[in-house]
Amino acid sequence: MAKALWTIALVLASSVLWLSASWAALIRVPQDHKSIQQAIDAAAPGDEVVVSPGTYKENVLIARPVLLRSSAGSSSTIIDAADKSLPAIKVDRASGVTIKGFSATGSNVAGILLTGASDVVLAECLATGNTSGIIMNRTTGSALRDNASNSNAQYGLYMEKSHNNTIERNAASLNQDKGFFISNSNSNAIIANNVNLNTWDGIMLYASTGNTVTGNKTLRNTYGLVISESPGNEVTDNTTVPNLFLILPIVLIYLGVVSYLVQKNLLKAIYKE
Amino acid sequence: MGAILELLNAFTNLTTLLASLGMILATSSFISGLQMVKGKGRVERKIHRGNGFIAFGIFGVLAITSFVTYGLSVWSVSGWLAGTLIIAFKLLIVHSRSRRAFKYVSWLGASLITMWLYLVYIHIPL
Repeated sequence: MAKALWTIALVLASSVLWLSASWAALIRVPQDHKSIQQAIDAAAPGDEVVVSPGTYKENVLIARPVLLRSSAGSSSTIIDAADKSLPAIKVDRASGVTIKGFSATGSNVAGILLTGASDVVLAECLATGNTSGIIMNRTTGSALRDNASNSNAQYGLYMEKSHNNTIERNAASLNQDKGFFISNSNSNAIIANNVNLNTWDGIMLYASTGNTVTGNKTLRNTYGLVISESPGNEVTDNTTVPNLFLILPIVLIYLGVVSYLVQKNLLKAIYKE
Repeated sequence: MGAILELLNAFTNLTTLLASLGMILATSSFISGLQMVKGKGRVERKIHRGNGFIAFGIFGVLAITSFVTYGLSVWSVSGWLAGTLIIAFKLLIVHSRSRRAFKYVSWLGASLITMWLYLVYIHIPL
């Protein structure tokens, strides 16, 4: 009897799992809903919103666990902030959100703002032409992978009071202040990012502890890697000046001297000076 | 070994290759120019002029490439214009044949080498 009950329970549980997986609806923009926000508002937790290429003039607010992705990648799917005083994309106190393959631009706050969120995955997005590219505020357990945050008026990535996040293989270039500004944020993994050509610091850790900063490239910033009032971080294998910057000019000057001597002897032979 | 591979890999970028070639030619031109100041003959003059004019041509190509790729901005136009002015000023002094002005030619030559060093630096791929 007990065995039969266990079997029924097992079958019911697997049915519930299978049904919940198969019930995750697919909502298309603009086919099913004209705007991304309408699609998100119509989505149930766990649904997938797929956005076709185009420029969407709106401010997207996500407050439930949905998967928002573009069908053609960030180069052709652009969210341009309709209200410039709001972020182009905002994840507000939600858990389990995934955002993939968008460009976010035109905001006087941030291209992408994660606030009070957890378990967010942000991947393959581009944040450009905003005050800050990506802001994480009180966000935990999230992952930023393969994003680019370039040419913003302030920071490429600004983390404030955000803990246990993974920032991996992202790029932050040509921002007018810092590439990455990690402030009051602990136990984050900042791995294999390219943070180059920013006006001020490449990566700055301020009042943050227990972070792992490894395998990053911070080239041609005013300061590559700045750690201020931040004890207990693991900082290894980061590149601030590659060998090429030193070797190449020396090699070229040497080749210039050799080239002069070769030309001189050749011309001497021709003109028999 | 890693540094050599990194060095070779840098030359797969066309603008790096051009900037490097310009740096080599500018160095040859600079050395032959110094020899000319010492009073050496026609071989030095040919090396100086030949290398100098090709380097100037490469400078022009790099400037056009920069404008096509990144567009016109105040900083970029100012930078390339400043380089052109240094080259023009140097040619003007040389052609003026004034002994007084001639004293400063080696300084301008050094400025041109510094300019090429900067050009190589900004064209090293990240």
